[in-house]
Amino acid sequence: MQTAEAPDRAGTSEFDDVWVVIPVYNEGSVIADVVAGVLPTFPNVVCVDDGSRDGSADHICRTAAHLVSHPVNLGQGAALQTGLEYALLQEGSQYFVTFDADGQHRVEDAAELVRAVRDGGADVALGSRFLGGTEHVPRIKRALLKTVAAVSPAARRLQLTDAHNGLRVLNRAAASHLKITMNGMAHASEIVDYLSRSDLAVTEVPVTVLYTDYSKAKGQSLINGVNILFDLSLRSRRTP
Amino acid sequence: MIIQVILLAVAAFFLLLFIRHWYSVQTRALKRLAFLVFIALMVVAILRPNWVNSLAHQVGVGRGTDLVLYAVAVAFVFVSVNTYFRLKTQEARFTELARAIAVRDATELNARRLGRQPESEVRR
Repeated sequence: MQTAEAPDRAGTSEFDDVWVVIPVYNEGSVIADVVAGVLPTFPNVVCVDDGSRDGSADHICRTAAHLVSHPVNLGQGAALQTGLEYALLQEGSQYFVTFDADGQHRVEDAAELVRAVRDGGADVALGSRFLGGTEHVPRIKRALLKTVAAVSPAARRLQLTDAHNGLRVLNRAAASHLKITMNGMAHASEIVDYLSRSDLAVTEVPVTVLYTDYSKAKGQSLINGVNILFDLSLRSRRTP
Repeated sequence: MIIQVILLAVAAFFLLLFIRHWYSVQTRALKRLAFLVFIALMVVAILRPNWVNSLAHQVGVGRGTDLVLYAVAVAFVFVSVNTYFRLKTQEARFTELARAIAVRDATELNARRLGRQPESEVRR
């Protein structure tokens, strides 16, 4: 991979004030390509290496993306939170994109979400597989995700069609108040829950998820839904 | 029959109360009191098995040992939930520590790698 410098801060890109947060766990074989695909559109990328053991960090080091390394594996939710906190510290950061490391999201979709927040007056934009056509989503996955969106009170309140899409855009206000405590995979529901309790304006934007063989192999298994439900149902209402 | 309903309702009620207010001072105090009561009841059960038996008969459980077994089962659930929350709290602290280290190291590393000053010092 080439070590292209990110454009200068005073640069010309439309998305200079956007930071893309990519949580990475053992994605060594694809992460460099994913980052290389994102950088031309979004000059600011931070990859959070969540204690990978396959040299993902080395691959990230060869790109122009920022690298934050968890000293130990903490989970995807924790990696997202770390990435957001790092991006919030960077000068001029206004919009924050969460992006999966396995290459299942399209950069054009991310740009569309950013525009929905920046120009559309929303505080948060969430990607949805189901607003457009759904033919590309595997059938079992489609049924499961629709069920989750339908039974989750928070998702219903926001009238979401897709509760577990990894592609999101938050503005600064939304990102700075988000505190992900679910270190594992339950963070997606936690984020939806946070949004439904807040006064933030949330919008859904149709996106295409690329179900490559790689992302299918890496993707969440259905059985993991049991873990997610367990963690969420035992969450106590903490009064700090 | 009645005892089953009562026991289940009581267990469910306390479990819910416990989960929702785990962090409050009252819950902590209640846990300690419950522990003392549990010990006291245990001592009574050891010294006066007949009392346990007659109590069991009155509420319709049958044998005293069954009543003790139920009590132990309920106590076990509480201990499990308590441990689960304690581990969660530990995990949250551990995560924040790891995150602080990661962000601190990354600020330095990326400034060096990408040839910029640490962002906090830029344009001051």
